[in-house]
Amino acid sequence: MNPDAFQKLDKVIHEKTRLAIVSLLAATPELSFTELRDSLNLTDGNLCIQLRTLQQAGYIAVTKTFENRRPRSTCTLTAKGRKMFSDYIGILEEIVKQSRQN
Amino acid sequence: MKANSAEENLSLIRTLMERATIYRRALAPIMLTVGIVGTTVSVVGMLGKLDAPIPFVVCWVIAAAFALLAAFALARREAIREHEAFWSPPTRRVALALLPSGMMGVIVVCVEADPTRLAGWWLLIYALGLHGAGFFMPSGVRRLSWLFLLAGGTVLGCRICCSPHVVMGLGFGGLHLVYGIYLYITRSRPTSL
Repeated sequence: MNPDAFQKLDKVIHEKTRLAIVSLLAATPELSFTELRDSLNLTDGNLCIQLRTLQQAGYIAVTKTFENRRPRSTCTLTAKGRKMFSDYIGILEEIVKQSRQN
Repeated sequence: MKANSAEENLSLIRTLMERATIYRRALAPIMLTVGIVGTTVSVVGMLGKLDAPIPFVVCWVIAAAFALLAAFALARREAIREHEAFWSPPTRRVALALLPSGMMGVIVVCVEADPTRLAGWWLLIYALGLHGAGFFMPSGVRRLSWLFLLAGGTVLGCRICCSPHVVMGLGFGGLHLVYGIYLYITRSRPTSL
């Protein structure tokens, strides 16, 4: 198996919680903070930290709006995030393919 | 990282992406609609004194068919709005998860003569179906299934003697209404980032 494949995995996406967040966002146009938190059974604090990391990497965009005078955060995957996620899946598939060949 | 971890990650990604396409935005109106149907039919059943086994079963089979049609219409509307396929793989999995409990609901009608106990069995069976389908839905659905299980268990275990329509109204009407309201409230809950 080619060890370089492991090195190519994106460190930002590879963390379990962030991978789950990106996977959900890749399948839907947008998700609110509440929907993400409830879907993944995360605490507000943990989700905030992971979203901030993804936002700083430029993988997601967070939009703040007001609904009935209450703030609402909506997350979407950016073009860069979508490409990195696609690349990440490609590398995983490559690893699995190589292991099956061996 | 080993190859099997890569496979696990791919499986996780697939599961989460499928879960995200379930009609989460349609869930709140579906729950509220089913709750309103359940509550209304229980009131109609009580006022009409439809407590005998056959009228009770006929009344609630019609209610279930109506609720199912309403849920179908709401999910279909959401699918069209989101440009998603209605009969997607996760939708199919949810339908398949609910199918055995639906069949059990029909079978139990043949073996349980007491309408109140039948209502208890229906609550239990519905809870199991909901729990099975909950894998591809928001986590709250599984919590709701535990409430149904508790309600059904209480009716059967404590030998509660009341109108079966009260059991159905509180169970299928009340619990769906509460969950629908919870979904609406949490949808607009203030969040900070």
